[in-house]
Amino acid sequence: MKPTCHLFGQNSRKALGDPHLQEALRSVDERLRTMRDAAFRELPNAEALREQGRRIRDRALAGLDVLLEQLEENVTRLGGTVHWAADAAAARKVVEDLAVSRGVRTVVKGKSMVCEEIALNQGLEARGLDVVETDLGEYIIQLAHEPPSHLVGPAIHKTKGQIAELFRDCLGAPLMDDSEEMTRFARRILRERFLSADMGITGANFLVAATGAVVLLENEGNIRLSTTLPRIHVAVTGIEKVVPTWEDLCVLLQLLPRSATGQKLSSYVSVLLGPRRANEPDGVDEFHLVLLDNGRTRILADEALRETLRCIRCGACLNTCPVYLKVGGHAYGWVYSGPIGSILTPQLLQDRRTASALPFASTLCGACAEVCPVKIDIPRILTELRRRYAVDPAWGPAPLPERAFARMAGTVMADRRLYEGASRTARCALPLLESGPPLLKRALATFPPPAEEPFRRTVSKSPRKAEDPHE
Amino acid sequence: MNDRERILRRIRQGLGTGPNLPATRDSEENAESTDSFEAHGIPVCSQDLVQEFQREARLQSVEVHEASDLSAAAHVLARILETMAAARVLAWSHPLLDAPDMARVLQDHRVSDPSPGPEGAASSEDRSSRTARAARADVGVTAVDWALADTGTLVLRSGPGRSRSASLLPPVHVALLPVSRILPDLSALLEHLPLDPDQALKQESSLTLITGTSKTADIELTLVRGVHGPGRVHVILVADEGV
Repeated sequence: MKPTCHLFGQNSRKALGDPHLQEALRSVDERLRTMRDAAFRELPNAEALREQGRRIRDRALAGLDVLLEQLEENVTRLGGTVHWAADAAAARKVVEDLAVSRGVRTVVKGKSMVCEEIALNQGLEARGLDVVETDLGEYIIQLAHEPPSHLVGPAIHKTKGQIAELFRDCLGAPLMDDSEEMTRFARRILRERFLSADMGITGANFLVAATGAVVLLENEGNIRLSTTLPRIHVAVTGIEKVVPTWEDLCVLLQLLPRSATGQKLSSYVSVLLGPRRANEPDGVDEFHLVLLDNGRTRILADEALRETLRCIRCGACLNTCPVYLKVGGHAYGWVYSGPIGSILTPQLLQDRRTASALPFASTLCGACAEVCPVKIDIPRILTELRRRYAVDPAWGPAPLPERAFARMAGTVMADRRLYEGASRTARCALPLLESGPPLLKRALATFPPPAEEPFRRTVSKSPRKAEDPHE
Repeated sequence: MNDRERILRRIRQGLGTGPNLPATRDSEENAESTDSFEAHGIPVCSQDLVQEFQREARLQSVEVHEASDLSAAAHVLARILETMAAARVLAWSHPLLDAPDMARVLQDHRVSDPSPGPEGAASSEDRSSRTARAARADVGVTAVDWALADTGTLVLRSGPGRSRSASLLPPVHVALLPVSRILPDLSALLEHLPLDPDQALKQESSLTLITGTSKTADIELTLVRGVHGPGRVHVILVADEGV
C-alpha cells in the first residue's frame, strides 16, 4: 500500500466530515475503551503486570539475536522451516516462491498487519493466486478494496448498511439488515474456501524461543482453520515478536486480550508446534516461519526509539487517543494508525519525510502511555520524532519559515521579559490587524483573541483559599 | 551474505553485542518473576476451583453440565445429541470416550475416524476427503486435558486420535472435563507442560486454549457467536472419572 501519510491534514478533514465514521468511532470509544478499562480494574496487580510485560519485552529485545537463533533451532527441530527476510520484497518472494513451487492455487489468510505492511496479497495475486482474507472484518474490507482502519477491528469504519450493500454487490447476496444473518452468510462462503485451500497464511502474536512455539490469538476461529486444514501453513511476522520462555508468554497472554478487547483471554489461543506428526489425524504437512526485518533492526539500533519495538499490537492506544477517535485509521495514510502508527510509521518507511506529519498528529495528552500494556512512552517518542523532523538533516528538515518561526518563538519563550513584552504587543496589535488585508484576517480568524488580562495577573490577584487541599 | 546473516549482524551492531552473549537477566528481575509465580500458585480448595470454572465458563456462554461419573456423563451426552437431532459426530479416540457407556452413545453417531492411520502422510486427495467428512459432522466431542478456572478455559492437546477439527469444524463442541483436571490459571498450566522441546510435544503439533465460543464483533461491534468455529460449547463436568 502506497503511503499517503503526508496527506494527514486533508485525510482528517474528510474523516471529520463523514458522519458514519464519526458514529463508528464513538462506539469504539464507548465499547472497546471502556471494556479495556474494566478488564484492568478487575486485576489486583495491573500495574505490576504491565511492568512485568515491559521487562519481558525489553529483555527479549536486548537478547534478540540469541533468541532468534534459539527459536530457529527449535522450530527446525519441530519439523518447521525458518526463512529470514531483510525487507518486504524478500518476504514476498519467500512466500510467493513457496506457493508457486508447491502448486498452490488458493490461499486463506488470517488477519496480519505484517502482511499488510509488505503488501503480500498484491504480490500473490500478481502470481495468479487466489487469496482470501478470512477474518470477517478483513474479508469485508478486502471486498471493498480498502486497507484496515484499526489494529483489532479492521472494518470498524463501515456501517452495517454499507456492509450489506457490499455483500449484495460483490457476492450477489440479498440485502440483509441483521449482523447475525450477515455473519452466517459470510461463514458459509468462507467455509467453502477453507475446505479447498492449499495454503494458510497468518501472522504471529508471539514466538517462544525456548520451545519454538508460534502463538496466535483470535476470537473467530479463522486462524485455527487456516493453520489446520490446508497442506501448508506460513506464518509471516516481525523479528521483534519473539519472547524467551513460556513464563514470559503467560504474562503477555494476560495483557494482550485485556488491552485489545477487554477479554481475560481470547476465544482461541493456538500454540503451534510445527507440522502434523505422522500419527495425528489432522494439521498441516508443512510449516514455514518467515522472520521479517524491514526496518526493525534500524529501530533496534536507535536507543532513543528502541522501545517502539516492545509493541504487541493490542490497539489500546488507538481506542483511547482523542485524535484517533476523531479521524479514524485511514487518515494516518498507511498500515499502522493511532499513536503507535504515529511513532512506528516514520521509523519503518524508507522515505521518512512522507510520514513527517504523523508525530504532530497528537495532543501529547499521554493517554496512550497510560494504557500501553508494555509501557511504551509514546509521548516521549513523539516529541523525539518531532525534534528530529525539525532539526535532524537525516529526518527533516522542516520548511524554512517554520524553522525560523520556531527559533524566534524559542528565544522569546525562554526569556520572561521578552515573553511579557511580546504578549503585551500582541494584545494591542491583534485587534488592529483585524482590519488589515483579507489574507491576514483569515489567518487571524483561527487564532483565539488574547485575554483582556494576562493569566499571571489574574492568579496573583486572587485570594488563596486555606481549605484547598493542594495548597 | 544472505538475509539471515544480514539481519543477525544488524541486530548485533544495533545492540552493540558480540555474537554469543547470553540474554542476561538481572537478579532483581529473577526475584520478581519468582515472586509473582508464587503469588499465583496459592493453593485453592478444589471445590472452589470447580465453582470458579463454572462461573467463568458460563460468563463466556459455555453450557456447563454436571455428571457424577462416566455413565452419567454418557447420559448427558446422549441427551445433547438427541435434542439437536445430531446424526453425525466427530469424536476423539480417548480412554474416557472409549469407556463402555460413552462408546455406546457415540457408536450410533460417529462419523468414520478421520485419522490417516499410522503410515503417515496421506495424499492431498485423502486430506480433502478427510476434511470434507469432518466438516459434515453436526457435533464434535473431545476430552479436555486441562481447564483453567480463572478464565473458564479448556486446554486441548492434539495427538493420535485427537483431531483439531473436532473442536473447530462442527457448529457444536461437547467437551468432557474430569474435575481433577481443573487448574487455577495459566501459570499453573506451565507446571504441567513439558518445557524442553526435546522431550516435549513430540507427540503433538498443537495445544489449543478455548475460552467460550467462536465469536466476532466486526460488524458495528455487535457480538455474533459461531462465526467460523462452534457457536455452542457444552462442557460435561465429570466428578469421578474412574472407568
